[in-house]
Amino acid sequence: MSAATPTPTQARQEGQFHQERLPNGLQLLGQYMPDVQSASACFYVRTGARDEDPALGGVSHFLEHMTFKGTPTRSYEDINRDFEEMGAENNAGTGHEFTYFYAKVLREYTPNLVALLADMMRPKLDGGDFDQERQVILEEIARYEDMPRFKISNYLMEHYFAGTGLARPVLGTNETISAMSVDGMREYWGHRYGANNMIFAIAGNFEWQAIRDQVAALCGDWSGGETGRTPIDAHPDGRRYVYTRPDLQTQLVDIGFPGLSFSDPDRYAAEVLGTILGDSTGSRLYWEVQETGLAEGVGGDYMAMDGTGMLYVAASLQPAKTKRALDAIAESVQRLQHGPIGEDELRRAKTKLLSRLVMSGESTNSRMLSLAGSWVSVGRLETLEEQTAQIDAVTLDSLYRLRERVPLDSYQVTVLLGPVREDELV
Amino acid sequence: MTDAGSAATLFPTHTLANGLRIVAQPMGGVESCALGFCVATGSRDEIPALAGISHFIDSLAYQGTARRDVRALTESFEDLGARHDAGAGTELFWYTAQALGRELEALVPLLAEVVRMPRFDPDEAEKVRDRLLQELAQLEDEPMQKIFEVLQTTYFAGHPYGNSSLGTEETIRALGPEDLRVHWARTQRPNNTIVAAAGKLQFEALVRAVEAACGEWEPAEVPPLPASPVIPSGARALSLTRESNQQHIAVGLNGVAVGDPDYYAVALLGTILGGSMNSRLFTEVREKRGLAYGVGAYPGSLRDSGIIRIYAGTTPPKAHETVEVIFAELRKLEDTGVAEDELARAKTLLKSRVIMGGERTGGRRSVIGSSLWYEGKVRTLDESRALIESVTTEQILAMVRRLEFSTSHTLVTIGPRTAEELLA
Repeated sequence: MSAATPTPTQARQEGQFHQERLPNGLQLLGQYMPDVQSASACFYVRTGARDEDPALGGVSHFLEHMTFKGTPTRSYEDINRDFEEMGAENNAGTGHEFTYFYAKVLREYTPNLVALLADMMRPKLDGGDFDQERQVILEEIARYEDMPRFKISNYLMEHYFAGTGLARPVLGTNETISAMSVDGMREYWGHRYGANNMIFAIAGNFEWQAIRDQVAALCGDWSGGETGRTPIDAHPDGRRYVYTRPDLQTQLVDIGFPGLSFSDPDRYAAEVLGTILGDSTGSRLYWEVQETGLAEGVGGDYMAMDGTGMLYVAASLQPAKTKRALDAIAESVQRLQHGPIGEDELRRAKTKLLSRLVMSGESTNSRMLSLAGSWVSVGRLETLEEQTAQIDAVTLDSLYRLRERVPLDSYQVTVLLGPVREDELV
Repeated sequence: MTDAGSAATLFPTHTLANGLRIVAQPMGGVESCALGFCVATGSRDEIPALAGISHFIDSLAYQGTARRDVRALTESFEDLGARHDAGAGTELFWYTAQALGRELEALVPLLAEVVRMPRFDPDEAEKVRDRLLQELAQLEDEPMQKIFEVLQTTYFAGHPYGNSSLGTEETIRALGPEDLRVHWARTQRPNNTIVAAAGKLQFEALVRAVEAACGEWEPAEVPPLPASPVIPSGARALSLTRESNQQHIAVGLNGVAVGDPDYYAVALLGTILGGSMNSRLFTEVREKRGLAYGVGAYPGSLRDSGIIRIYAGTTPPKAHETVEVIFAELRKLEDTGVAEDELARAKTLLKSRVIMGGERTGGRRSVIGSSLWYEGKVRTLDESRALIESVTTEQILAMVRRLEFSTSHTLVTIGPRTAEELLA
C-alpha cells in the first residue's frame, strides 16, 4: 500500500458528513454509513408546543397528524400506500420544541421516500379531514389520561415552567382541541413551516449528490417564515404539588432541579453528572434509593432544551414508603452537590456513556436524529470522534465547576401522583 | 450486510460436550456485540404454587453471584461499558448483555457467572419480592399492559401457555430463596441452553471463552415440553369492569406455531389486518371513523401454538361500534380473503422489516438464538425472503377459514362497559 492510499477508515471519515443550506434557508444534513443497506430520513421542524398561542394549545401535534391526511397531489390512502410500497418504517413525533417526520427504508427506495416526505410538508389541511381527525386527537388525550407516568411528567412541566410555553401539554386539552379551527392551524403552519425553520436530515446508505439535487428541486421554492422563539423565563416556585388518586396502586414522584440549555458549554459535564446521579443502574440514586428498597424504580438526568433546561428525578414506589424515599432522594442530591465525587464513579460514568455513544452510532435512526439535534443545539455537526473526545475530557474539576455554577439544590419543584395525601408527608 | 453464503457459514454453530449450544453471526461494519444465554424455560414450567417464579428468578439475576455481591457485579458490567438484562417469557428465558466487541472475551465469563452461579441472597430476594408485589399492583394502574396479560391467560386457560408470567400476590409472598434455587437448578441446564452472539466477534474466540466459562456446567434432565394446546373453538368473553377514561378491548384469534407452514401467511395477514397505517383496522377504525387512537393486530407464535391479538383503545361511548367494525372486518376476511395488491404491499413491508431488523446486533442475537431453539436452524435472509414471497392469497383465505376467525375468538375488555354490552 502506497503512502498516498487512504486507509478504508480514513476514506470513510472524510466522506462521512454532508451539509448544505439552500437559498431559501432549508438546511440539509447527511451522514453516509457504508455498512448498512438502509437509510433514515426526516424533516425536522423547529416548532412545537412551546411556540403555540395558548388558544391553539396542541396545534403542533394535531398538525403532525394532519400531515398524514393528504396533500394537493396525494390522498391519505396514497400516503399510507406509498409508505407501505417502500416497505418503510415510518412515524412522526411532536415535542415542546420540535416536530419531525421520519422513515427508514432500504437504500433503493430513498428517492421515493424523499419525494413523499417533501410532499407531506405541504399538506392540504382540509376542513373535513380536520373535523374527523379531531376525534382521534380527543381519543389520544383520553388514552394518556389512563397513563399515570405520562400525566405526572405533564404536571412537572406545568409547575416547573409555570407561565411559559413549556408548561402546556403537547397534546393540548379537550377544550383547546374542541375549539380549534382549521384556519387557526393553517395560519400556524404558514408561520412555522417555512423552509428557513426546517432541517432535512438523512443517515445511512445513500448518494448525497442525488439526494441534495432532489431535495433542492422539490423544496427549493418553499417560502420562508418565522424562525426563533420566545425565550423561556422560568421562575420555579420551589413548591410541592400533591395529586391524590386513591384509585392508583403505585405512588409516582417527579422532581425538577436547575438544569442547562442544550447549547451550554458544560453540556458534556452535565451528561456525566446526570449519569452519576441517575443512570438506570449503578448510579447514586440506584444504590441509595432503589437498591435500599425504597423505590421500585428511580432515575434522573438533565433534560436540555433551547435556552433552558431542567434536571429531573423520577421514581415509582409503594405509597407507604413515600416520605422515606423523598428524604433519600433529597439526601442523594445534597451529597452530590456538597460531597466529594469519586474517580471511579467518574470513570464508570464515562465508560458507559462512551460505549452507548458507539452503539447508538450503529443505528441510522439515532444518527439521523443526532444530526438534527447537534445542528439545533450547537449550530454544526459533531462527529462521533468529537463527541467521544468531549466526554473523555470531562474531569472531576469540570463536575465541581458545573455544580458550583448551577447548584443542584438551589430549588426544586416536586410533584406527587398516587394514593398519598399531603398530610401523610409531614 | 451481504447474504451470499449458506446458513452454516453465516451462522456458525458449535455444541459443547455438556449439550450447551453456541450460535453466532459475525457482522461487518459494527463495533458492538450482543450476547445472550437463551434457556428453554419460562412460565409454562410453573405449577400453580410456583406461578411467577421464573420472573422472580430473572428479577434477581443481577443481584449477586456466588463470587460477587450486587455492587461488585453491577460495577463489573459498568467497567465493560455493558448493558445487561434478563427476562422470562412463556417458554424462553433470556439473559442478555451488549458491549463493544473488543470486550466480548471478558463479557462471556461475566454473563456466564450470572447464569450459572446466582447467589439467591435472602436480603436481595426480599427487596425483589417487594418490587414484584408492587409490579403486580402497578399493573392495575396500566390497563393497556394488563389487557394483554389477561388475554393470554384467558385464551390459553387450562394449558401451561396460559400461566400468568407475573404470578399472584399469594405465590410471590410464599416463594423463598430455596424455592428459587430448586426451580432454577431443575429448569436451567446447559443441555437446554443456547449461547447466541451477534456483532463484532470471532467465532473461534467466542467458543473458547464459552468453553472455559461453561465447560464444567453439569447437564441434567429438564422438565419435558407440555403437550400441544387444544385450539379453542367458539366465542369466549371476559370483562373487568372499572371506572376509566378508556374502554380497552383485546381480541384473541387462533394463530399458528413458529414452525407451521402458515407462519408467514399469518405474519402477512397480521400486517394487512393491523400492522401498518395502511392496514384494514387502522383505516376502518381510526382513519374513517375516528373511533380510536391505538388500534392494531399483533400475531404471536409459540413452539406449539399461536395467538393473533387485536387491540383497540377507545372511549366508552364508541366501544360498541369499535367492536362491530372489528368483527365486520373479520367476517370480510373469511368471506373474501385478501387482495393481490394488498398482499404484494404487505410482502414488501415484511421483507423490508426483516432486512432492516437485521442491521442491529441485539435484534440478530435474539433471532438466531430463538430460531435455533424453535427450528433447529437459522434462516438466511434469502431463505426468509423466499418464504415470504411464496405466500398466496389462496393460502391466506384457506388459513383464515381453517382458523375460524369470525366464530372462534376470545374477547377481553377493561373499562366501564362489559363484553356483553360491547357484543350486543
